[in-house]
Amino acid sequence: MEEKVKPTVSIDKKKKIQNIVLRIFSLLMMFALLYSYACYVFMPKTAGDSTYYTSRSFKVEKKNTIDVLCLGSSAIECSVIPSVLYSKHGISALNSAEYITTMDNEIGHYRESKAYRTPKLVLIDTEIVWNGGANTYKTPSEMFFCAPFSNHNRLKSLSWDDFYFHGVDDETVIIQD
Amino acid sequence: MSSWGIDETTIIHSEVSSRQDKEIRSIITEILADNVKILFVTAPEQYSNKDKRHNTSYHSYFESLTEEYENVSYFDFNDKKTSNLNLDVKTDFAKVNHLNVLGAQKTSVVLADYLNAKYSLTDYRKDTENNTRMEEGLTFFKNKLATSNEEQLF
Repeated sequence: MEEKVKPTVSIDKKKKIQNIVLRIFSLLMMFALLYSYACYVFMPKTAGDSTYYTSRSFKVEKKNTIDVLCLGSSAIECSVIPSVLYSKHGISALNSAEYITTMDNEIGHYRESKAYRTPKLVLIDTEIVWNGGANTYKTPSEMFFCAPFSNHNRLKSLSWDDFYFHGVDDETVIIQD
Repeated sequence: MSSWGIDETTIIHSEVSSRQDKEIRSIITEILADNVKILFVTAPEQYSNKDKRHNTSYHSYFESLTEEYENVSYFDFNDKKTSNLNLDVKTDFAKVNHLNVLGAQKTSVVLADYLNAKYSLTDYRKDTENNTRMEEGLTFFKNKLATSNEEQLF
């Protein structure tokens, strides 16, 4: 009789453990899904929302049509107007500067831009020597998964557009603005 | 009292650490390896002799880099000897180191002339196949100036 009871207890324990594991796994999955959705909600959707996109507008320009790539901080962001360069001498320039930037952020922009074009000239703001800015380099996936923290200030300005999925990728995001 | 522009009477502080120097040199090496030229630019800003973190403090450092590296140049918008910007602190700045739209137009005109004279860049105004976005951008900017009652300086 004892031999028959023992397996029954063991099976119950196994089931209990399986249930616990399944619950923990389900909980983690739910958390991962909810967190990913929160990342999507907090992620800026237009260029106007974030300099992360405006500084990467090389992604939407026609391939190999930008001769001058401007890198640096807000000082260059506020000084170089590509349209004026084009109007004066037909120079094709893109201002990729980002406020309170760092050296690794700017070289990161340059590396990313190479997938789309090789400029003839890179203009670099000397202010990057300061290197004390908060904008360190983030890959697109890092940017996405940090969104609830790095873009928490969007909480007050969230709109309906932020909550539903509409095929956002880096390219369409910029074009929308 | 702030002013714009540096000349031989300006006190220039040179404070580039060895770590900063190393990072700048690694950026230069990486970009030059792609056969891309580099132009370091110091954007216009208001100058005060009391402010040691002023960007012109790096003026001599970047000048020395141009002597070391071929295809590396330096343009300081604040240098009255080389830049004929003549910015007015009262009308051309939004804040101490940020220009407003008037100042940015003045700077961009000078930069356009400098780039055109120094580098052989394509004139995309004639390239109708590839200049659609640039034309759109120019029209957008001109309209923006007109609707905000800002003067167009180019």
